Amino acid sequence: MIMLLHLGEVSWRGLGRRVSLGSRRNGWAVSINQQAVEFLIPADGRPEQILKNLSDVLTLSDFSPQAFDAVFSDTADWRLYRAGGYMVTRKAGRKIETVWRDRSDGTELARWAVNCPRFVWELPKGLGRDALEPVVAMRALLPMAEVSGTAWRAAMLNADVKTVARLEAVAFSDKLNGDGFLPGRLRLLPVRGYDKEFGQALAAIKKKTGLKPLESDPATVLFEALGLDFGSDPNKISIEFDLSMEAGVAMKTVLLRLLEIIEGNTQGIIDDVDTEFLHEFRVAVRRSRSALVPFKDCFAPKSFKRFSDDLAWLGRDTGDPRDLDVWLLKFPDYKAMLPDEVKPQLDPLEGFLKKKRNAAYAQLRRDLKSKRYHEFLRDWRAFLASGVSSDDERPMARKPVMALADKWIGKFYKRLIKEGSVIGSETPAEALHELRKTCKKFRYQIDFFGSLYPKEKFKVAAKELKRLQENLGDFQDLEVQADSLRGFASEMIEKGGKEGEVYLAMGMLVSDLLQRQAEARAEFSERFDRFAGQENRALFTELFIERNVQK
Amino acid sequence: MKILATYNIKGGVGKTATTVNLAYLAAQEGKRVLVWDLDPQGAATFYFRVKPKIKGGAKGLVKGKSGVENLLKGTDYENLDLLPADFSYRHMDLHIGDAKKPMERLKKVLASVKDDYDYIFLDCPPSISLVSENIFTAADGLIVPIIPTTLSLRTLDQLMAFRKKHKLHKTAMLPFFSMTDRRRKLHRDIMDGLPDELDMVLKAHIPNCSDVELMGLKRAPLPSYTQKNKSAVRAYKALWQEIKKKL
Repeated sequence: MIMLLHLGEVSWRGLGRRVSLGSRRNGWAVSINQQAVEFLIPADGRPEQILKNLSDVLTLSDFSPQAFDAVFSDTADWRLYRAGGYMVTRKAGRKIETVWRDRSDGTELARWAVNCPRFVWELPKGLGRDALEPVVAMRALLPMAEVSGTAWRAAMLNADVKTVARLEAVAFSDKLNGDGFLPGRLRLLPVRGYDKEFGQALAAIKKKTGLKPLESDPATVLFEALGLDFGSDPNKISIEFDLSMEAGVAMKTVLLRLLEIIEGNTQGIIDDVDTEFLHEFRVAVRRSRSALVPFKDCFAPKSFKRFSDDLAWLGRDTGDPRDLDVWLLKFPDYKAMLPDEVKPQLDPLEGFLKKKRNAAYAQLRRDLKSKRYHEFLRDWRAFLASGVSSDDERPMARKPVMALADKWIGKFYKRLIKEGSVIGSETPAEALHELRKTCKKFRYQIDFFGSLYPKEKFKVAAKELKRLQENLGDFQDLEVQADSLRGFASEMIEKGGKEGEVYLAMGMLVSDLLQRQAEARAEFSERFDRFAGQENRALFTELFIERNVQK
Repeated sequence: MKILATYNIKGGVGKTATTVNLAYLAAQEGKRVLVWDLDPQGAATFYFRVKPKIKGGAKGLVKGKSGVENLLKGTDYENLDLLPADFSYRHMDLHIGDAKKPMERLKKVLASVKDDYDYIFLDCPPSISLVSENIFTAADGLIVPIIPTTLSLRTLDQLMAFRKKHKLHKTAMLPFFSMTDRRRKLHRDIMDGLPDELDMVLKAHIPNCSDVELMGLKRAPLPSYTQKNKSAVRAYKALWQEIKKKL
């Protein structure tokens, strides 16, 4: 089996610092550990015999075959893999261990003597969990690949019978994607502080066995051999447009990709795997609705009116469940806003929210299993896949997609600047809410058409927009949250809630939220001025407007 | 990260066995653990089959010349590293006395690796000295094995007095009865009739048994070679659970 879990004690330096895998590794002071090295055992090689041969030249402990099962876990959007790592749980006999490794060199980042739980917060507390939390966040860890086989493990010993390196030979019982079995592995794992001995073992393997090291990291090699579709974010639109593509085809391509994302997240919502499925589903629905705006230039609205209604329906029906998810995800933060002695008083609210969420999800599940939903998926797909040849097509459908992109990005940008410029300190909150909507619409257009523009400049523009969006988002969300809290309180009282103290705690939260909202409002003009400032305006003009005029 | 020091003014009370076994149990739970064998006799280092020698000796370590991370040794167990003993540790007091801010010296030595471990166990030499004062300053918990005899209880009193004098209130005191023998009346009387002021003594106690003595022969932590249900293994597990709750 897999030895995916190297037994080795490998360095975990720097893990305590909460940073992404990439930058963390660069920050290491001194690397005193060699990394694990893996070799491929060809189909006709015998793993056990290889170890036996090595014991002629190295002092090895006894080894006997042990059956193992190994499960590779990752989030549905491959967050661990994309962050440069992988996680595997190995069961051998009564022993179980879950190890998180860096793909680049096999370094062990964390190890737990438990089965991989569904959520990171279910792992035992400690540095390993602290480091994993920002990578995985609220996503569930799901089994992505399972392999089993037989492993022979041996320790390389010195004169004191101390382990100075570890060897593991593995034979898989799984079939390759194609013919035959997965090729076996020989792993050499270092023990900290015994570099010389590791070098001796490495030299012996090379000389005695002639095996070739793996060409890529063990996880990648295995996933490829198993024929998995792995490592990419299934919720990314990532469409590279060809500049000359027809606008009608381009829009249908975008919407088809969004439909795939909607479909891809449906089962996860029904099974309630984690809250991100619904989030990604909603984002794809909102993006689809935004895409219908330029879509109208290419096709007669009556030809897709029904789908537009269905998308609006999905947007509406997912609103409550998502809001409640956010409430529960942020509950610890809300609690943290209160003074210590008041914190426990907020607990009845959590119970109330959980019940409400379960009810909202039950309704949503019914919707997602309904005839209407399935017909929408089927017919919308058929419509989008039908190409640009219908009678309803308009002249814009045949023009290059660039023309459509320039028109709508330019339009929303101008609207954004216009709406934002008239907002002063006395302007009613509704104007800011409207501006947020415009911002989102603008954002979605640039998301769809991003690949048409120069990458670097585009990135800067998107970042500036994001800063503004965050501010507007805070402003509105804080108000909505304060309102919701008031609503929850009345509902709880109606249902006969008797814990008087919870209302006091909720009242404190409301005042805190409104205070923060006022702060967000105060910050708005600074952020908007920066967004609409000379430098930025020049950038947006150059990117989206000027070229348009030149044409 | 928590620093746990195992300490007693007296020797031969089961101190090193405690350090090695608790560190092993913590590592088995998946915690990252470092044992620093501060005792020049190097018993913990011996148990882990590592050579009792570090480059630069005590002087290099205290003065910060030898990077600690280069001196660590992996043990035979996952998640468990050792900073070995060195015979020169017997002069550690001198080097600490020479250093700036002597009371914080040991803590400083560990600064560069502290973020890499959940627990650092210090296996301390007997006696009260600058080294032990340093340990009291650095440790989050002081694990004190005591044999249930009248004299040992006095040791505990002295330790409490020392802690009070030096205002080390942040350090959790974790005394427990070690090498106990319920067949002996004296042991039973002391354990059962503990005065109120010594109520911080932990409930778990470690029996005196041949399994623990065998550690020297096996050169390995007790739970790594003994059956799980043996009383000594259960006792160490209970002790570790109780200590974690007190931290």
